Amino acid sequence: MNLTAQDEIGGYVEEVRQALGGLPAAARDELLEDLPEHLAEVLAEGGGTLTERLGSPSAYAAELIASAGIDTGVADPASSGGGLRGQMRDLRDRAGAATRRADVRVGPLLGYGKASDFLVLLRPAWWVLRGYLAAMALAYMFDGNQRLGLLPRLGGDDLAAVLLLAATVAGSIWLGRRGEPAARMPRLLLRGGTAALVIFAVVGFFELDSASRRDGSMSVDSVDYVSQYSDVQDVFVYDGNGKLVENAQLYDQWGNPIQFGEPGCIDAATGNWSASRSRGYPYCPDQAPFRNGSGVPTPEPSFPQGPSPTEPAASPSAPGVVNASPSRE
Amino acid sequence: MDPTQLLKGVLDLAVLAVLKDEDGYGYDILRRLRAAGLEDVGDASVYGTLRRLFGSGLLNSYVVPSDEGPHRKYYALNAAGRAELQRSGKIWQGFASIMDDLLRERRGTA
Repeated sequence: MNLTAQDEIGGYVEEVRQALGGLPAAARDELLEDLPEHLAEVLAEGGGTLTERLGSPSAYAAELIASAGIDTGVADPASSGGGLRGQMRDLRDRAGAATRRADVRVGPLLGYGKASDFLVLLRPAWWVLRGYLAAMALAYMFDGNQRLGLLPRLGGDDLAAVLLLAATVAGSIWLGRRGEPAARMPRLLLRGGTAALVIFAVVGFFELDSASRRDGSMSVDSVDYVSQYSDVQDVFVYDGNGKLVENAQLYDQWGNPIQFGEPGCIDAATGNWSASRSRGYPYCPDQAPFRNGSGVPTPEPSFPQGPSPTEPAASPSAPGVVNASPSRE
Repeated sequence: MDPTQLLKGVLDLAVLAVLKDEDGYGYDILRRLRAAGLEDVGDASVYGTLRRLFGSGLLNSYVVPSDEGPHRKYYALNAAGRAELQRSGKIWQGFASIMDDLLRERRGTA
């Protein structure tokens, strides 16, 4: 055995050892104990490098784990032992059995022999969705504007968003078609990343939904109603003849009293506030915008279109409107 | 049907069987399995299976120094291994004959 062969064997064993990184050190050392001698035997026969003859070290490690009964839950009375590892394996076996039972029971409800038969069909759809979610996550992380939309916008550029989306979807499909990595670290990374994406997706969908609901109600409540009438302090009702109605009561369509402002008046001269003596609107008849029937807008037959009496600005701009009815005083 | 899946289930038995008459080292055992017709069997699978059977106390091992190559670790069936070979062998033969019958019946009725 020459030095080059030893180097090759040493390198291969080391890579297998790293691929077995998830195992306890003792189990790993025991598993690899005779591997250098064994590989020397393989190499001595000739016919190419170790990787050419045996495949990649990570694939070799995966096969080793499966056949050595470490990760497969295969009955192995001597090495499974008790302790935490045994309990974990036991738990996993039971969870696996329960999953398989559920798989068979749920299947017929979906019209398939097993639920997994149906889910396997959905796999490519999941790859596409995963690509989309990855793009959204990237855009969310790297874009300054921390509000979720529907497209993964980076800097608000449409083309960049579409390109990013295409790249992540293609990447996700490629990953999916490639199958799960044999080595432990890449596999754990893939699973961890997928779990993070799923959490991101669930949180993101809820955020997006509540945000869109909030936006919708804002435009109805605060913009249309609240801002238009929020500074109304008093209400002056004029009858069909332009006469100011006193002690008027206002109700909405449900019979609830409508209240604007506080029932009181501010004396224009002194600036003091005093409680209103009126039993309804207007609180302050003295401050009516139209006096003695002059300048009161003639009510239109179609009431809602008529100028609102609460808009004092309407009176100076409509000097031609004259009400013939006698004043109340 | 996937032969590699089948192989997983019977590899233990196959390894015990090729050690029944003659001790062998890892690569030698792999060669015997392949020569017997299990051409798809993987090197790592045989190595892992040997480690496991050894760990389960079904095999003994001893090292034979070699002048031209590396030291070779030979594996040999011990009493427990022979008992296991007999027990598993019976299970397999029963299973195989059931499958044979099933396939014969199907062919007959078809």
